[in-house]
Amino acid sequence: MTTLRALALGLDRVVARIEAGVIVVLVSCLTAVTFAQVITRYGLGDPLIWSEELARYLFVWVSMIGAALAIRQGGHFGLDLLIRRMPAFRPILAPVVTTVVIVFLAIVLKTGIDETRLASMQFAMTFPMRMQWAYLALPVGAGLMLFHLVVHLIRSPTTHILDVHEGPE
Amino acid sequence: MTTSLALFLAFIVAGVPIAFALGAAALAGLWLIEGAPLRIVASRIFGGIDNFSLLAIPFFILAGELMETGGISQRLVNLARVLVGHIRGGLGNVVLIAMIFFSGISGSTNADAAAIGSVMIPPMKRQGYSGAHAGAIVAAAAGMGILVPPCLTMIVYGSITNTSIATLFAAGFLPAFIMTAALLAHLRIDAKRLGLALDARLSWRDRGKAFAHAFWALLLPLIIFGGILGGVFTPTEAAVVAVIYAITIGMLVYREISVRFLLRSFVRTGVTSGIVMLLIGCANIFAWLMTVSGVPAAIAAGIQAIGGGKTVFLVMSIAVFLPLFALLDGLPGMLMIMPVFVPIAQQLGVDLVHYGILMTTVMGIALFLPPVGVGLYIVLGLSGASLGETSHYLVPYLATMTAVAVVIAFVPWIVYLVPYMFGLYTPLSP
Repeated sequence: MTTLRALALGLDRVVARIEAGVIVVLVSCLTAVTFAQVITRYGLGDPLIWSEELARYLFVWVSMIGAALAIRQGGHFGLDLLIRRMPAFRPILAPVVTTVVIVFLAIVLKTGIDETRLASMQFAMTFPMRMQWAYLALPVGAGLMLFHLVVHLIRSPTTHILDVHEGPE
Repeated sequence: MTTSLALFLAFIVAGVPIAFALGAAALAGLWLIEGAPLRIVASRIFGGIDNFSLLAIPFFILAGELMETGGISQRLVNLARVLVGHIRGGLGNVVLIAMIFFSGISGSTNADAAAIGSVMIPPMKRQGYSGAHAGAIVAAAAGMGILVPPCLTMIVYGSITNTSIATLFAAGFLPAFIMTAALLAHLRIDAKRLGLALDARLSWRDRGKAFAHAFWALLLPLIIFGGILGGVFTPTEAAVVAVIYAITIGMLVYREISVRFLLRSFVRTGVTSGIVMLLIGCANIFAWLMTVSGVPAAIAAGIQAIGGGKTVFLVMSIAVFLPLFALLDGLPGMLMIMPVFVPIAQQLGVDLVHYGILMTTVMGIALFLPPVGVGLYIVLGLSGASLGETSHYLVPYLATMTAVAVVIAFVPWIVYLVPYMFGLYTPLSP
């Protein structure tokens, strides 16, 4: 049991590192693509047609992975005024709150997979790519958030998810 | 519908993060509507995020992160200090003017408060301000600074309501200056009453030097606004230009940005964007439910039945936004209430640019509203003063700012004038 726990926590750290690395790559690409659009339009007078759409899909990926990493930092906005006032309720409330979030994300995961399947029939408007690669960000992001939440339940089920501080990377 | 709202309230009270609370409550509502396809959960989230205007958000966050290095805020503060430090109101004036400079670079109010507060509060204490008073002035100034574009609130509002973000940016200037003027007057009265110290007047030579030091930092807002107002860049493009500029200046000219710092900024930007975008995506599910349920139309009909029309609605908006934005950290509160209030505004014929600026103004006040405003706690962390003492100084400033918000609500040309001058906007009903 303890080894399983240690394994889960270790895996959580590795996944978070990978997420941080992927975000660095994606944000770099996002910046480069959008800047290229500005340069080609105003500098060369010959604008790229695909840059805007590509940037949008990259941003969906950045957002979903960023949202997953935010779980480990207790970064998602929430009202903690009341739970701070009633510390006695917190250990009971914490697992309930985590479960609500897990149920919601499970449905995002499920519907995200459905949408991704459907999108395999569609193509991006301005460049040859199946839309499933854009929609895939949804189930992947939801899956990563679920993973971090399950590890959180293993680590300390009675800690409220607004109070998690596992560091940025 | 009622079930959904009740659930949402219960979730929020229990501390479910607002994005998930919105999503889960909307989902419950969906289940109760016969035959509603569950699929829309994923497609509404995707649709909410997939928007080129919203791409300005990560870029302005990143530019702010990169410009937030100590050197830049120090340079901007020095410039403000040689300009207005000797006028009655002293360092209080400096905070306001430095805030205008810094907000012109950064899109986040909390970052503004942290950057200017950390540079200004220590010298203010040395000049005889109490920590509480210094903190209150920084809080009020940061609340004003939300109106100085670029501004994340305006980007989010603009992309959700399909209002031009360039127009909203331009529309923020005059309200920001009126708010600044009101606060400067208030500080002047305070300074006389409290007998606060002033800086010595400096020669133009020293002023020139301070200007030269701040030159590269000051050029950035000029590029951003020149580009947007002149119709050269879209706000998203201006934001990416700001990022490239900040990296170039920070690495080559000021030499304050290391590769390590740059990569960390990228990660922080991704996380902040993720938080904001998930919220927008989940609010988009909630918005669908609101539209289907017809609640906004019913409220609008109710207001029209009372006979108050726009006036009642605008007053009601301020009264609802102020506590709501204070409790729910600004943006989340806004995303929650927009699906209800914006359709009502449209039905009553309220101009959406005007309404957006009003909402932004109120958010600036709410973020620092005692005892819950999230920005207030950033300032308290820097000043080390207690909530009670700080509130004693802050509440009168916030009252002045609320008075300005009411003026903005009833004199819409304050909002229209600048965008009209730049040919960006012609209001339907002046």
